[in-house]
Amino acid sequence: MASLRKVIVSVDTEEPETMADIAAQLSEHGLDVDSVLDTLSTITGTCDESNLGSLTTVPGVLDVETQYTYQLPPPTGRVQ
Amino acid sequence: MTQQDDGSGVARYLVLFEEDAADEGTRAMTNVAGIRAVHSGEIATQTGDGLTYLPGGVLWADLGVAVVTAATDQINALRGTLANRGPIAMIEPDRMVYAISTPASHPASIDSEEATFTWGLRAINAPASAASGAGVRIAVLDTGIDIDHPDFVDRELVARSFVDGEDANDGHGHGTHVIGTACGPRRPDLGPGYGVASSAEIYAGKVLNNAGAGTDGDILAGIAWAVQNGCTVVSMSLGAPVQPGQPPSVTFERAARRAMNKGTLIVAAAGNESARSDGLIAPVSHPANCPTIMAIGAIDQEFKVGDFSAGTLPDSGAVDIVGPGVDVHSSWPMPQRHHTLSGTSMATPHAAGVAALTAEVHQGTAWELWARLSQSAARLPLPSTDVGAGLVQAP
Repeated sequence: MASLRKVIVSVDTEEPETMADIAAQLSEHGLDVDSVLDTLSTITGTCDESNLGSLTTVPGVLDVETQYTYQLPPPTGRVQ
Repeated sequence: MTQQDDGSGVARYLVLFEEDAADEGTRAMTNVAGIRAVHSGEIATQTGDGLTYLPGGVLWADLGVAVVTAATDQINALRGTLANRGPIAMIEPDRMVYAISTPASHPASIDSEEATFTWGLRAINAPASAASGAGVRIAVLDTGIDIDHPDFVDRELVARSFVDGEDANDGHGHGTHVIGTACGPRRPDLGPGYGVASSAEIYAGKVLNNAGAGTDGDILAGIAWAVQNGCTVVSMSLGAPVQPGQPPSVTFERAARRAMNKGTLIVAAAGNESARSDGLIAPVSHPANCPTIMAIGAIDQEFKVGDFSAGTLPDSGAVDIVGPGVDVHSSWPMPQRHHTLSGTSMATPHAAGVAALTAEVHQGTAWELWARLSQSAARLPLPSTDVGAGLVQAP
């Protein structure tokens, strides 16, 4: 069974058209793109664990990281 | 503590005078009811306890108020003048003893100071600062904000949700609390002043859902939004625990550098995973462990490190500075309105607010702001691994 991972991809440009091209190529490599953040040269999305390696082969990609998840204590918790 | 009629028919009342009519009103009290009020400036050497039971009372001319001790027939005579639109505007029973029992010549007690400003605001010297963050945009990325909260009416507020299926309204409370510390009022209608940058423009980005959960992707989207909107500071009271020695996220580090290059300083909570009383110090959380994100630790009212506050461990992220983070009073979704919480989440918006004040005073951004926050921090006699440069101070 496929294991989906939310990932963040760091790229070497902030030029919007180039970023859109990179995002399109990442899609072809199995990334379901959530957002293309030109300002931060970062693309976020979801992909199957087995495709993680191939994302790094896309030209312009610097790093691929699995996203951290965050969880606050419930509102009744004294330490936040 | 309350004081009511003790059976003798004598009780205490507040007498409110019309505008600029305190002298005339004091004469009226004497003529009509035989009540002689002493001017507050004349009682400096007397004790409050004595005054409480003396017939007569005390006049605060600047406030246009007298607190008087009077018998029933005296107060009835005084009430008879209310219909004539004279110098006395209102008479009401006084139920509080503590106000008059504090001699005017003594320094105000801790409690009465807390009644004006929170201990956190006083610790960072915000009440004395002429700056209020006017013209500066602060983004707070959290669980959103109680958009209808009465302490934020008349404020410039932009709210945006990055959480699927939820609007920017705060269904948790955490976001409303931290926004209150960073940008809330210094003089709210109710309770002490608790907001550092009380005139800043508020950008409330919801990146954690109503259950308090979120992911890196939504947080990065929130950072990008803040940068695009020219926010000088991004305050993130959030973090994910890491292991000692675990390297920081290269993507967040790059994103933070890009934000800095565009004039946006990011501050983030150092983390709450320590249990110092048990000898455990946890490393700085993600993403505060990124070198270009300012990591904020927490101190308490005695200027000791919060038991939970993360520390600087070998080959891990550094605590850069600390803020007040134990027993912090701030806003909370209605109807509760206010709430007191602890955590590096509470320390972080103190630092973000100071960054906004500093930006207003010095017109600086990014690395200049970082340098000024570090340079102006109050040094503490504690390890730099716990408190970095020290306690943030308002300019």
